[in-house]
Amino acid sequence: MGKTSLVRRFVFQEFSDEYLTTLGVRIDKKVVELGDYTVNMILWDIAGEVAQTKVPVSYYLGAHGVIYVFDVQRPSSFENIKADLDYIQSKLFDAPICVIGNKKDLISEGELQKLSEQLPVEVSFFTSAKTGENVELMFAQIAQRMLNT
Amino acid sequence: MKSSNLTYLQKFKSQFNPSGYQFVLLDNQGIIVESCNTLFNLDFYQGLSAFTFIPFLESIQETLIEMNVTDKPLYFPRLDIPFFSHHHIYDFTFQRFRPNNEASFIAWVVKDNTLQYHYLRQVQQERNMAIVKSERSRLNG
Repeated sequence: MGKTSLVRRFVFQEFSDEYLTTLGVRIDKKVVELGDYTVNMILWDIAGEVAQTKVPVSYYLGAHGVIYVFDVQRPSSFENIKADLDYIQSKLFDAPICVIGNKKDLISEGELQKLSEQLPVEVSFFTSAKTGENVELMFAQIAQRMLNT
Repeated sequence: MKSSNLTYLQKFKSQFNPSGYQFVLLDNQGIIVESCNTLFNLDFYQGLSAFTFIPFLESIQETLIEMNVTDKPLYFPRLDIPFFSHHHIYDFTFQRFRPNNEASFIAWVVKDNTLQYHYLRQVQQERNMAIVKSERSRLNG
């Protein structure tokens, strides 16, 4: 899906084509200036699972926002999207959720449009960890939404 | 038992750290009260709040502070954290420890599972790459 690549792009401004699986959870931190506020973003990059119900419940503790990432090229990464989001919302009632379609550099704008229309949920951003497109914007938006809640 | 009284097996075992565990006591401000330093030395940080220099603890501090003795221990498996210059994979467990009426601590147990998870990571990596490859060939094909 590219979750780790998105975090690396955001925190370290770097990208690698090499795939390295995440075993459980990786923790990173970035301080973001949002208007008059300084936001400490502690990012829990959680290993991809077939379904969210497989994620250890303790990983949800302390979460103030969620970025749900799927791969625009892989239907298996978004075929459970509605059930996954319903489950996350049942665990984190008030947390804002950003839905992200990553790897937008690999398909055309027309295909993205078609994909948006087919999905049962609204996509917040289509991003590319490779080019950096929409990555800062997406993290800034979730930070702002967390501030507002 | 004195070293000279150890059996050959006990002498051999004493060269290792058989537990692979570190035990730390924090107060409700996250200040490190005591640490056995088995895996990493926290002496330099004694008296400082771990909530301020360990982002993982910072993110769950509210939950830790609110823990009661009767609560089940909180278990966080497979944490991949660059931690005091060690890049290992740890399991963390937290629970409230109240040895008497005056004292109450957040007990933090760290288990280094890097070696065990190293094998698991290789298996998962190969499995995930095979799944992606299979899906791509099916879509292209």
